[in-house]
This record gives sequence, structure tokens and C-alpha cells, in this order.
Amino acid sequence: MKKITLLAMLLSMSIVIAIVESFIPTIVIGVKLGLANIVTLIVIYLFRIKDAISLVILRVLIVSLLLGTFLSYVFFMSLSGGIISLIVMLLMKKAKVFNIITISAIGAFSHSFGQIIIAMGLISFASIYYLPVMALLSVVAGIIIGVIANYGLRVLDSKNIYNSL
Amino acid sequence: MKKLDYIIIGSIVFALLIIILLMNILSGKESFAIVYHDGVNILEIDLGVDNEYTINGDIGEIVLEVKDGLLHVLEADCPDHTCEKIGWSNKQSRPIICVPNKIYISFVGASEVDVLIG
Repeated sequence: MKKITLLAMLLSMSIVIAIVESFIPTIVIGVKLGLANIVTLIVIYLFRIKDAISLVILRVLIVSLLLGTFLSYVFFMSLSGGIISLIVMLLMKKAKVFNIITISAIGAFSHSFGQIIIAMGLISFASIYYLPVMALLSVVAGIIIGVIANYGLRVLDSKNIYNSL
Repeated sequence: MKKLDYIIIGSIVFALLIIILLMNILSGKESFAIVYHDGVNILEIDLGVDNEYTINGDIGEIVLEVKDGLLHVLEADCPDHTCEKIGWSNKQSRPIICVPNKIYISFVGASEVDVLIG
């Protein structure tokens, strides 16, 4: 199939995953599993840098519009976390020495970091007290997501879905 | 997974655990709470007095309950009620934050409270 078709399908999948995940209550405040990042990782490995950036921005934008959180504090926290984690992951991928699971774990860690930074600016400096626990849980989630994304990449590879890539 | 990967993840997890441990050990029980709305001090609470307080946030009202030196959110007008789930606290390392209402409650010692407002 064409690149753009696969990319569009991956974007829709990440949107659906993000929306379904938003209905799962969080145990600790603000810590969601971030399952949509499975798609982000797949795109980082299969597509160009600009495709990954478009994917993250479009996903955060569309999900916030669909959930009615557009321009809310949640929107800015997701956007900030998503972009920072994406930049970190892209840099780590470029270095070519890291395993996908490590990239995912550090990406998840950066995501929390990005969210707390915005929370400290928009809400209060006290938000920083939540960073250590949030970061720890996000690293664990990142590892799980990395494992799933790794499996997803293998499946896509074996099915030869993207001959033209 | 090469050695580098384990080292990186391992050291971050280790560092975070140490930070969490230190935060819990160093943070003692405080005697006062200060409620901020959008960065402005709107209420100071003496945790030694059992009482209920109602404050106004951006979206609605929040009812706080103080009992046995601890404070928690009894009821909040917000979409996700995260602040209610935080539960009881009186530690500086565990502030209570209601993001939609722009309310944050920090726990401090007597030296930071001049006059009780509200």
C-alpha cells in the first residue's frame, strides 16, 4: 500500500487508542498508560522525522477536539509532553545505539517531564513534587509500550505491508 | 538489549527511587495549609483545628475537611475528581492540586503563616 495510506491508518489507530485510554481511570494523578505511543514508536522506525512530528501533533490536536479538551491545561500538557518525548526519541534513534525498549522508556520519562514542566508553569510550582512517582511509573509503562511496539514492527515487517517504503 | 540499555534504564529507575525515598524521609508533618487559587493565597488553615472549609475555584466549589491534623478534599466540582483521590495529607511533598479549578494546597510550618486569613 502507499505510504500515506499506512500513515493515515496509523494516525487513526493512535487516535482511537488515546480516546479509549482516556476512559481508563488513573491510579496516580495524571499518569495514563500512553498506549498511543506504540504507534508513535512504529512511525519513528518506519517513516521520516516529519511524519512522526505530524503524527504526534495531529493526534494530540484531534483527540483534544474530539474529547472537548482543546486548549485546556490537559491539551497543553499532552502537547508539551508529546513533543519533548518525540524529540528525545528521535535523537536516541538517530544515535543508533539504543534498543527500542530503552527509547520507549526514556521517551515516556521525557513525556512526564514535559507535562510537569507545563503544569509548573500553568498551575503551580508545587507540581514538581509529583514528578518522581510519575516518572517512575512512566518508565515502567514505557518499557511495556516498547515491547508491544517492537512486536508490532515485527508483524508489519513479516506481512510486507509497506513494500514501497 | 545491550549493556548500555540496562545501565541507562537501571540508573534512571535507581535515581528516581532514591529521590522518592528522600522526599518521604525528609518531609515531615506540617501544621498549616495554605490554599492558593491561581497563585494567590486565599486561605490559611490551621491543621490543629478540625473543620470544614469551602473554597471557590475556576469551575466550582471545593469542600475541604481537616481532621486529626490532616487535610483532604471532601467534594470537588471538577470533571475528573483527581484531587479527591489524592486523599489525606499534611506533608510538604504531597500537595493537593485541583488542576481545572487552579487550586493548589501546600503544607507549611508555623513560620510561614503570619496571620490566618479567612
